[in-house]
Amino acid sequence: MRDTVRLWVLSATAGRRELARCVAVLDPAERARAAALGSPSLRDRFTVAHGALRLLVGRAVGVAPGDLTWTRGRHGKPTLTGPGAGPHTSLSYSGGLVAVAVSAGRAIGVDIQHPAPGRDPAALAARFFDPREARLVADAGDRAARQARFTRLWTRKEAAVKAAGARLWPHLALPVHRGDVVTVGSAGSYRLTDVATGGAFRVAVALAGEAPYAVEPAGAGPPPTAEPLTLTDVLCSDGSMLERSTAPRGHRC
Amino acid sequence: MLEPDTTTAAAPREQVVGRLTALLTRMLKPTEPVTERTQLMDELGLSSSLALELLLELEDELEIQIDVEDLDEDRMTTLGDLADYITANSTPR
Repeated sequence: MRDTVRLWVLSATAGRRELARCVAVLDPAERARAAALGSPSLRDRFTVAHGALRLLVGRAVGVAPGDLTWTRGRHGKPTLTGPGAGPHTSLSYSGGLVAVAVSAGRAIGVDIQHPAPGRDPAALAARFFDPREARLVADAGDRAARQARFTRLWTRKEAAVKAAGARLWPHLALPVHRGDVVTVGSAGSYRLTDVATGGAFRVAVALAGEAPYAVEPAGAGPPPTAEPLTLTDVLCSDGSMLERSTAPRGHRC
Repeated sequence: MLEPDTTTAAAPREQVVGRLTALLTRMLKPTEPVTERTQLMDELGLSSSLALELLLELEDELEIQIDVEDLDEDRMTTLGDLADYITANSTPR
């Protein structure tokens, strides 16, 4: 049977009550990191991201969200330890969205990215990516198409590097444009999957090893019209988020 | 560990600090003034993709090439840390 990745993509904004419930499950270090961020939107996004991670993983492993602990590897890769140890988790946020991914038995990396409005991505790819990938970005018609190609490649690199627990910067030139199995230095092989989302956001998942796997996005309807989940969905659901299709928004709990 | 030889650096550290300060202020529009002690990820919320843009902008402005092979999140905790790295790991274009 194929391995399965559970993926939740949710809005980074939440009401005061939902935010308070997230703050309540964060550990002191996470609260301090949230408090240090320089703007309310950054603080809220961090709180929603880490709160949702704890709520979703806690539910998956049957441990109180506030009791979960992660230790950080040499390059910052978090590994679940203590009472909930076992599953592999990954967290990413960009713009107004957060992505949480959980895999039972294989190291995982997830990356979500909104195309940045700044520089033309062709220049970034030409400077930092594999030359074939740089051509791929440059050859894509208009700026929006170049952004889309760049962002897809970027999320695939980030996801692979996160799954491997490696550093991003030496792996910017890691080719990820051909085939879904990539080798990250001495860390081994990783299988990449692009996940469709609504709008311009791109999501990629990487899992250790070459074996195929399925990605099960929670609560999402068929893209590209699917709305992201909200923190309310996370707080009010058993984790499947199937309530979204049966109960009107705002009347679930 | 040897101190970076700033006398032969592709760009003087003060110049790197000045340009990083201006670029980060423009890109992220922080509410507090950006200084050498500003924490890039933990205060400004700098993402890796924005860091990529930041480095390319800096390379173009200072006409240098930054070797990113040894770059790590630990070496860009504060603006001052990143300026140290760039000063020690850049060559003129």
